[in-house]
Amino acid sequence: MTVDWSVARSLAGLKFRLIRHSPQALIGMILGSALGGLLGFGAISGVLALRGYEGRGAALAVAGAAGLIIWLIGPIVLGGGELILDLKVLALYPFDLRTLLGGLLLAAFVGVPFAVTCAVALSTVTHGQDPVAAAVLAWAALQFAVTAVVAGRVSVGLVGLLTTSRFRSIAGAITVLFAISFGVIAQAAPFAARLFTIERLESARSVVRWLPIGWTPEAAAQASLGHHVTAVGFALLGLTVPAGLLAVWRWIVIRLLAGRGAQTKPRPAKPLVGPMADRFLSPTTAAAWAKSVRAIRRDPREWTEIAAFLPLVLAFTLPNLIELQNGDPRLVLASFVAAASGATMVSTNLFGADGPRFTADAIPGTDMWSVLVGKLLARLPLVGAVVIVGTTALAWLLDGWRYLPVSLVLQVQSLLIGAIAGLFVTIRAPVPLPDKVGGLNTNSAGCITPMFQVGALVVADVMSMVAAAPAVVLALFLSPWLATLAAVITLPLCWLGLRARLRYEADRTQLRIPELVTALTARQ
Amino acid sequence: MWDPARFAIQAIGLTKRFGQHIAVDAITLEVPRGSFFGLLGPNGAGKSTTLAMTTGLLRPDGGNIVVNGLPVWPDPTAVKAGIGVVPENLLLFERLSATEFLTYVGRFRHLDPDQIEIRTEDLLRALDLESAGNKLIADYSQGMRKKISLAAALLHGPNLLILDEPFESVDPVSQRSIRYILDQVIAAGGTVVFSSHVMATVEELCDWVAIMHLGRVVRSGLMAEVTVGERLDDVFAQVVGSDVARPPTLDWLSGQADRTERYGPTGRPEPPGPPDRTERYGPTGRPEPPGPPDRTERFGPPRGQGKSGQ
Repeated sequence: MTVDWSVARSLAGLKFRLIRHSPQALIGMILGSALGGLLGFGAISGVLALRGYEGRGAALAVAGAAGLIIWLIGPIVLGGGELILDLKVLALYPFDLRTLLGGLLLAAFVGVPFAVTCAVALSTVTHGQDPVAAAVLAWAALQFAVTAVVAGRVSVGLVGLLTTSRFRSIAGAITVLFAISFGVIAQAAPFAARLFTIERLESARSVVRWLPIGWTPEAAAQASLGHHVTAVGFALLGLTVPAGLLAVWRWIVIRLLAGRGAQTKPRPAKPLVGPMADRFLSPTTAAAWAKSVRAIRRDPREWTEIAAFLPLVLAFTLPNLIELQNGDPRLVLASFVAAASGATMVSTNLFGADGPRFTADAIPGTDMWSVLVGKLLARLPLVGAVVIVGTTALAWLLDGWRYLPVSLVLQVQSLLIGAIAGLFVTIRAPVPLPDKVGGLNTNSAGCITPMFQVGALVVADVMSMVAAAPAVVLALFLSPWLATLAAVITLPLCWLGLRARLRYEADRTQLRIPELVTALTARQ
Repeated sequence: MWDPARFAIQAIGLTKRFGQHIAVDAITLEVPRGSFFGLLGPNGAGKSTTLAMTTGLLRPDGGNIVVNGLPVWPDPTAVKAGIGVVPENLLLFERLSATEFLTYVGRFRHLDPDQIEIRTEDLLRALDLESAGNKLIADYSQGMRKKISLAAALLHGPNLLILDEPFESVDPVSQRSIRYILDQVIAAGGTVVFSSHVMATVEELCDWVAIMHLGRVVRSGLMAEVTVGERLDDVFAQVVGSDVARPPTLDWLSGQADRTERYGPTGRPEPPGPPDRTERYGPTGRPEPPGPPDRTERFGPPRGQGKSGQ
């Protein structure tokens, strides 16, 4: 039976129509295309720069294998599975298997990732010192791009087959963290480049050339060095890789179409509220705290926002670590800003991203004071832990131990201030904002809320700087211990501020419940 | 054995396990052609799993199933071409408008573009979705999603419709339209199979019925044969057992003592502890040491009082 290309084309068209109608997917595609274009441009420049380089063969072989590994694990990290052309939906329709596979492959081939991979791979043709070498390089390049796409399909399928939807959302959440960490990785690149010596590349090549992912890149490497026969041999060997991957992918798709078993293993029940929370918190606050802790643990949407704080801290500190080693110990004093930022980030979205989640808090009639306190208590200690570890590391790096006590007190103070600022956004601009704000059709797709969050971040940082100013001045010009005392004195004021804010916002939320539910459910 | 001329669906020994749990336990199910067939059962009875296996969405672990004269497994493609399905979780492309969705479904089912356009218009009108035709399915209510799923199932004019809870969340007016459409399918010689919890709907619409419980078909046949003059919900309650028929009482709702008031913080009666030793063994609390065994028990009566003396 042959592939029905009209149906296959429809499948590819369906993918792009679905992307067009999904703001998130569309933004992801545009950003991904821009990023892919930049990376591709960089990679092509790299390939061209390798011409005449002694270790070009090893570099091409290792980089090619690395590229295939990225294609294999990339879909798992980036999307956690096929989120657009969902096989569960396609399973309803009478697709001949070849047509379905053809359509899915076509959809994968028509896109920026394939175009970029193809362009980068084809740029290796410039390494051909004669027409035969160029022809073999072109062959290897196309084979490499096809292998990459099929490898991507296999990993996408495996995720769907082997994991739960929870795993896929976690993978999606990890993507966000990767995206945020990208700045850190990019800044660390110059250090990493020093590791790639010719000896190390040759050593890596000697391993990967015997792995399936290394066969086609090795063909390019051999062709670039003028070893035509060996190059053709490796190219032929490499041909078996996409063929094998196609067979594996076919097997996966068949199993995905026929459904898979549900996980029914019973889990032992755990107490909802721990004894400590029961002892120190009121029952309603303890319940709100316990519910929030569970939500953070189980719902990637919750913990992504909190975990996103960590790469942000790293982004500011990691690239400067070496410089920091010779830096000023007084920098330890500035770490309270991280606490303020973190506390703001984790408290701007206490009610989650949709109406049902807010309604789940609002409907039981729990007083909003307990809900807000419970939610803050679940989040702020996480930020506190990260900041304390970070500051202690900073004190160690800069030998700024004498500033650590005042810095820690200022951090607690800043956590409270950050929570005050974050609460404002939680109540006034629940995430995501509906498309209509004050009669103005924003069609924001949730873009305005992040602007509110950034605003709250700035306000929290400025407020925490003002509150910390007396202690910092004392630490710098008189004594760090006197500064600690001053910070301890300011602490109750911040606590009272947060308490007043909580009371005010709790009362206000209680009154606004119908309005908030209407606004949040408008998007459902 | 297999009789495709008489039955639209025939399943024999159909089994599905999820780990240790047997969701469908070697059932035999026969759906006559031209029937309006209701599949009933409490939650977790195995209805949706059975329908998923019938429609080629879930591979069975055992048994065989033939739909429209074609074996569903190992390759369900041919069967899928001849049936329309509204699955349990609807399975829609949320980021398409209703019109776009039906157009793609038509293309996947090899319909002509003109045919797709006409049928899409007809279906959207019949299901009262005309005004929402260009709205994304993601923005639909649950009832509207159910209707668009039904429209997709009807688009190619199948002779067998398999619908999982088609009336759930659908407003009464739309329910009426759907019933009218399903009646048309039956009138044209088609077969409709649907699962439902709503006994009144099943009793009103169906001429055949099967009741599933704990993965087994516990009653099946013509509606009149199954009900035997009783109401269907009474028969259902009898068949699925007294636990379902007689719901537990919640005393505290009527102001009676809470379980924690009656039994303390655990809310459960104390399990009977071991009986007091003094009750069992007297003031010493210890059993009397066994005395020397009675010789008569071991060796019979003393000599001279043997059987002859009896």
